[in-house]
Amino acid sequence: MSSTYRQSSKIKAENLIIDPDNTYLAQYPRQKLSAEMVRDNALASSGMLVKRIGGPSVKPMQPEGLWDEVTGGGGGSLAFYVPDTGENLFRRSLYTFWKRTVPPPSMMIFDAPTRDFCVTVRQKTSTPLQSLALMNDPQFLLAAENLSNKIFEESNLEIDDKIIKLYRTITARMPNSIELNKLNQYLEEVKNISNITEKEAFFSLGVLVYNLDETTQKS
Amino acid sequence: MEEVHKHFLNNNRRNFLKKAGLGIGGLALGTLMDPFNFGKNTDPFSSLGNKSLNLPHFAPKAKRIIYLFQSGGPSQLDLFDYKPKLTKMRGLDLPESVRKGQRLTGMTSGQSNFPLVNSLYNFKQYGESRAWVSELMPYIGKIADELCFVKSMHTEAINHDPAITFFQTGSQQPGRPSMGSWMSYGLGSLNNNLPSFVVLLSNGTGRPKGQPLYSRLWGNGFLSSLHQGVQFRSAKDPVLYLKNPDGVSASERRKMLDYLAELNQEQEATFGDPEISSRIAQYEMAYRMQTSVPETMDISNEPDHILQMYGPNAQKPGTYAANCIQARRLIEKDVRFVQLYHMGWDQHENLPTQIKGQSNDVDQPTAALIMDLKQRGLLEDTLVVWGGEFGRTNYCQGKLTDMVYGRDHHPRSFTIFMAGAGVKPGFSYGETDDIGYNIVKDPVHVHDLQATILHQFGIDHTKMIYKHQGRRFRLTDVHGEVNKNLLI
Repeated sequence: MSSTYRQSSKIKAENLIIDPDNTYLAQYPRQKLSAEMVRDNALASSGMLVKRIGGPSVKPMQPEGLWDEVTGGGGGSLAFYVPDTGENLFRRSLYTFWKRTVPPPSMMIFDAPTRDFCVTVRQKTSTPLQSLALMNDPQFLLAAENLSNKIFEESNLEIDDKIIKLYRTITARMPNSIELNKLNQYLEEVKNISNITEKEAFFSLGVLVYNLDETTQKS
Repeated sequence: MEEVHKHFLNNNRRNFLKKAGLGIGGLALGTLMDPFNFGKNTDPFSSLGNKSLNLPHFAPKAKRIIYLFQSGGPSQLDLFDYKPKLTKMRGLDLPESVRKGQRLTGMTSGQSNFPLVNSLYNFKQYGESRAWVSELMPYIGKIADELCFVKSMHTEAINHDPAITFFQTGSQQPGRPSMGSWMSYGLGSLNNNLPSFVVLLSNGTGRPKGQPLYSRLWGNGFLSSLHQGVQFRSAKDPVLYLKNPDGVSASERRKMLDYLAELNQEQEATFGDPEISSRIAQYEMAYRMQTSVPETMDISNEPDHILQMYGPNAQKPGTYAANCIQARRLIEKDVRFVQLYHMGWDQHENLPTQIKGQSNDVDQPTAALIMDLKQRGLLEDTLVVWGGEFGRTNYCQGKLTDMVYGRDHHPRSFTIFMAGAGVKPGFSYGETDDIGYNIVKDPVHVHDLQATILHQFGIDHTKMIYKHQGRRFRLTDVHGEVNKNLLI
C-alpha cells in the first residue's frame, strides 16, 4: 500500500481552506462504509458472520409486509417475503436476495444503487432513516447483543477492560481516556435510568458503540 | 477523468459545507440544503431551496402537493369522458380509420374484432361548470366546480410498469428520481420533524391482487438518499425501524443519543470532518421523528364530523380514506410532497362490478380531502392531482354481454383532474373524438403535466438539472411544455 493511502484521515484546518475537496490527497479521505459493508461489519465484528463462500442468494431479516403491501398478495413466489433461517440470516450482504421492484430496505437506506442502472460512484449521505436503522434494525441489535454478552461473560476481565475490548472489537482502535470515561458514565447512568442489570446495560453500550460515526467509517 | 471529478463536485451539500468551512457557521449553512433538517422558516416562499440551482426560479403558487395516484389505469369512459355516441355504436367494430394500426397490448391484440362499448353507468352534469361526471362519482360531481379536468392526457407507455415509471420519473426506464425526490432536491423541506416526501399505499376493492407497485417508484434514483420517499405504513412500525426495541424507553434512548453526540463530537475534534456534524443532526432528526410520526398518524383527535366527511372507511388504517386523512395531516405539518397510491384500477374483464367498488373507495374521501383542505385555507397553496398512468379502451376486451365488459389499456387519451394552488377551478380542458379514442383538441403529454406541476412550485423544468455520470438529467428530460391554459 502506498504512503498516500496510508496517511491519516485527520483533516488539517488549513487544508480544508486550500483544498476542500482533497484533490491533492493531503490526507486519507475519510469514507463511509457502503450499505453492504455497514451490515457485514456488524456481522463480522460481533462474530456472527457466516464466512462460507458461494451458493444461491439468501433472505436475511427484513421488516414484515414490505412485499405484499405493494403486490396485494399477487405475484407467485415473490408475493411474500419469507426470511430464511439459521446461517442464511448471517451471510455476507453480497448474497442478499434482490427483488428489483422492492429492493432490501436496509440496502436502499444506506445508498446502495437500485441496480436499475450503472453506478460508478455511490452517493454518501447521512439520513435520519440510517440512524433509525442502526438503532432499531434487529440485525444490528442482534450483533450488539451477541458481542456485548460474549465480552461481558469473560470473568477474567475488569469492567474497564470489557469496555475497551468491546470498543476495540467494533471500531478497531482503543478508546482514549476521555472516551473511556464517557463510556463508563453511560453504563452507570443507563443502569439507573432503566433499572436494568449490568449485563443489560452493557448490551445498551454495545448498541451505542455500533452507532458511533467511526463504526461506519473507513478512516 | 474530469467528468468523474465534476461528479464529485456535483455533490452539492458536501461541497458547499466544506467550502463554508468548519464550525457552527458551516453546520447552519449545511442544514439549509438538507430536506430533513432545515429550520422552519416563517416565509416558506423565500428562496430557501437548493442554492446552487437558484430555486425557486420565480414566485410559486404551490407550496405542497398531494398526488392521488390511481394505479392500474382508471376507465375515463366510465368516469369523466362522457361519450353518448358509444351507446349508439355499441357492439360495432372499432373502425380501422380510427385506430390506424396503433399498437395494442398482448391482451387484446389477438382479438378478431373490437366491439365498441358504452358505459353501463349514467352521466350527469354538475355545478356551474356543467362538468359531466358519472354516477360512480357523486361526491366528485358535487365538487366539480373546484376541479380542473384534463380530458386530453396522453402517454407513451402501454403497460403498467413503464407507464407509472413514466409519470413518476419522466422516463419509462427505471432508475430516475421520482417527482417527489426532485422537489425535495430542488426546494428542500418546509419542516424539521418529518421527511419532505411521504408515500402512502392502499389496496382497492376493485381488483385486489391486481397490478403491483414498486418501491423504486418513490426512489431517489441518482439523487442522494436524503430525497428518498419515506413510506408511512399502517403496520405497527409506521416508518421502517422507527420504534425502539422492546424494553428500551424513550429516556434511555435520549441518554444514548446524548452520549453518542458527545463521542461523535470528540471524533469531529480529532478528524475535523464536517460530515460528523451532519450525522449528529440526523440522529436528532431521527429522535424527533420517533415522536412526530406516530403523532401525525394518530387520528384519535380528529372530530367526528371530519371522520364522517371522509366516509365509512376513514378509521380503518391502510384504506384510501384513512390515507386521505393522513395526507391532510401531513400537509398541515408542511410535508412538501405526499404521494398516495391506490391500487386496483386495472379492470380488464369484469369492469362494471370492479369499477363500482373501486370508485366507491375513492369518491367520497377524495372530495372530502379537497374540501377539507379548502376549509382550512390550505387548498390555496396545496396542489391536488388525481389520475392514473393511462386510460382504458373504448372497445371491449373479451366477450361483450349485456352486463359485462372489460377494457384494455389505452395510452392515447385519458382524464385526470387537479385542484388548488393556482389551477383553474371549474374548468375542463381538451377533447377526445365522439367515441373517445383519439384526442381531437389540446393534447397534454405526461411531460407537459410534469412541467406544469413544477411551474406551480416556481420551478422552470428546463433548469432544475442534476448532472450524473456525464449527462444532464431533469424530470422532463428534453421535453415538456408548461400548459398555462390550465392555470389561473
